[in-house]
Amino acid sequence: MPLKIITVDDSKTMRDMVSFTLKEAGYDVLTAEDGKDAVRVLEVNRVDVVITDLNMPNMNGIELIRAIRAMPTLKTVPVLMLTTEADEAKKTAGKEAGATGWIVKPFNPEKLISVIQRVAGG
Amino acid sequence: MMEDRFKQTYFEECEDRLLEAEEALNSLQSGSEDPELIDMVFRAVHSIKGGAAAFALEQIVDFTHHFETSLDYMRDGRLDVTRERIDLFLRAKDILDTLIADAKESEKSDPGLGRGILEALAALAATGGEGNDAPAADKTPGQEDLLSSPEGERTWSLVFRPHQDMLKTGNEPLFIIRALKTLGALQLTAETDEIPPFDELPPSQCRMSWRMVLKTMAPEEEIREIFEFVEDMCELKIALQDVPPGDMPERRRSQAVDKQDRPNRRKEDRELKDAMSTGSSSIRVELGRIDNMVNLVGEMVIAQSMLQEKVRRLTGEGGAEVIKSTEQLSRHMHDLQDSVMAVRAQKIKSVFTRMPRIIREASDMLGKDIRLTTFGEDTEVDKTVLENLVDPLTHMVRNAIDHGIETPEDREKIGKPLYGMLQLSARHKSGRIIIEVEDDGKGIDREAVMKKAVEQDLEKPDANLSDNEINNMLFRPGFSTSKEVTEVSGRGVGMDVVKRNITNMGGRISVQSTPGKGSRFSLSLPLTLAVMDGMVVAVGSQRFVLPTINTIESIQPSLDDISTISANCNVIKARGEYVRIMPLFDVFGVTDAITNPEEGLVVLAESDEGDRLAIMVDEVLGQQQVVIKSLETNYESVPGASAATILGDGEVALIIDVPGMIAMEPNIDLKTLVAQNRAKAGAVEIPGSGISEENPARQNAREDELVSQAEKNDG
Repeated sequence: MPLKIITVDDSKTMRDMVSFTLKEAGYDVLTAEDGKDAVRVLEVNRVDVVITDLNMPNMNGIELIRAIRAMPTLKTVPVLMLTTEADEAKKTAGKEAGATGWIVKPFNPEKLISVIQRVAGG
Repeated sequence: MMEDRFKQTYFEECEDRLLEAEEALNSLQSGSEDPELIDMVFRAVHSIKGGAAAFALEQIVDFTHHFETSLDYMRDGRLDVTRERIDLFLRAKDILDTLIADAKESEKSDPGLGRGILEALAALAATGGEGNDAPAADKTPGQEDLLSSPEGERTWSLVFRPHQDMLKTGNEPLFIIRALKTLGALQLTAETDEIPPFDELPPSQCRMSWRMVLKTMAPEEEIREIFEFVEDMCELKIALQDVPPGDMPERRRSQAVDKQDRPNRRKEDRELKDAMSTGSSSIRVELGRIDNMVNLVGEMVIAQSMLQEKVRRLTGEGGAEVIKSTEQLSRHMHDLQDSVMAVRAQKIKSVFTRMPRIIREASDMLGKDIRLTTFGEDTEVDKTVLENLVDPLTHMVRNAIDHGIETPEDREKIGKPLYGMLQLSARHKSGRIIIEVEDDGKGIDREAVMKKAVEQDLEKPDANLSDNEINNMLFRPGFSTSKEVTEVSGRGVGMDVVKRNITNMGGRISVQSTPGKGSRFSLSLPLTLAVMDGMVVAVGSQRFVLPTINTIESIQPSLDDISTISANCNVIKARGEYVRIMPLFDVFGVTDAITNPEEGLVVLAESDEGDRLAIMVDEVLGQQQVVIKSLETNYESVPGASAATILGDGEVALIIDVPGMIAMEPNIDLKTLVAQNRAKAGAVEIPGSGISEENPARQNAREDELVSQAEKNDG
């Protein structure tokens, strides 16, 4: 039974690449274009992992993480942030908002999968 | 390749992004001070950089890096917005246009292109970044992995004490431990001293810690990487255990290996790793390929049984040999089919392991304590069945926590343990998988159910229903007993949806409940949705398949056993009880069938709920495995039939939907009616006058259409 993962990114390239990698690995994938869009999707879909970019219009990644942690059914869902820099400040901000972990862009597909396995078990 | 597929999208996106950036820069130039504009330019450049890095377009990465840094400083106010700077950005954007256009044509750009601009951007970034650390360069993934090479297996001792709040970030110790297990042999001791009495334990806190001994080839960095996300949310000690003295010099030597030697060693290690992974016992296969295989094997089974049927008519010495060979072929076919099905089979564990999180969330929200036990996690079931099982099972678990199990306070009052027990189990039973969700909660409040049913006009107030009938009301569409809508099981999707999902897979759901003691919901599902064992029966010139799972026995009825209770309803006394007879010729409008039950046969069938039906047929032709073809996809649904199949001679046969057929007429109190009828008539009538009122010609036309549809689909 594949895990269902949502990838949130305002860049279509990034979205497509993440979802391609995940689909290849056998996961079910949902996508959203920004934080607001993600919240809409998450309100009606059950997901096992959230992967989100941080720089996005409308609602950025940090705001999205806070929104997710405020949703009763998603309090403990693993949330991974995609960051371009190994930026400690962003990591800290993300963690304070309740992020589970991070993935450094450009990501290595194997690494992405192993991180998902580490936070979601499958 | 992945690259080509996405590069196109990337370049299209770059064009859009550059347009956006230009618009924003132009607005800025005309005096707007909207901070969102700078942010928009930053995001555009940032995402162009992200994609460029993924496709290793280094010149673009380099250029955008400096561009982005200046924008970032301007965004957070370290650099003022000036006309000159906006001009610079606009020119930088033009350079970026060219760089991207070159990359799109797969041309190398002139290395000197935009050098002046780049230097200006770097200088600008330096101004903004004064007194700050220069922005960190992008980390290349996998670099860390390469920096250390395995040095044979070593034994590590680990202490892992998560802080109480670790769970709140979605980090799950179980999965971390599982990830460690992938590195090597892991011995684990849980420290439970910190766990308070159960009723004081907040479910959202982690109060356990672990001591571990890990034997692995992996270097320390790889072990530490697993704790990457939680290192500041736990106490973590990773140390090499005492190494036997004999090993020491060897290891020292390997550590002392000259750095220059490393690349080669790394390469060797890689190759070794690759070789090992090829030799490993599993491979990843695309599901589509397996499905294709399943379909092909299904077709082969049909072709093979067609062949066998033709061969059976052969006579003479040669005939016997051919028959023998085809029988052998048939055996192999079935083995092949089983093997292919086994590829699609997966352990139910993958569904069960989702439940602890669901339970934690639901119980946390409702202030309930739940202990979960699972049985039969290794039970295997077809992947499609498994996938369709997740939502219903999740719903059932939530439902049990929400409506079944009481709050700790209520439980204390009635002397139950404070924590509720929830049990999930799976097992195989006569070719099906049985999954049960059992709780020790308050059970179904039948009075409340009845009251609700009356309120919702589903039942008359004076209806005299059995406990079981009341329990089953939970599955009626629109029925909900919860007094208010809860966040956990909510409203909108109810048990009726669960039932529909299960029934669509050819499964059944049933519930048993004892007030005050708890409830048990049982699901019975087919192991696969592709083939089934069936009993082929003849009705006139038509043939039907009865699922073997639903059949008990076939009876040669004598007229004395049969009673007629109304114009079109006859019952037969079988195994001490009266069972309604459903003549198949009547249901499907077959005109050339036997109508006198004494000349035909009745097959005693039973649904999973234990409801029985005597299905009248002309004769039983035999048993065989049939490939299930959906009626809905190939034709349209037919009342009384769950699917269709293609028999050995290429004819289409409908597969009888026993529970559906049982539901085809309202249940009546047979015993009373029989007694009344006996008293009135005292005689036995022969059915046969009750041929279907449906126009037989239309029926036949429908079946012809079905055949041609199925052929079309096969071709």
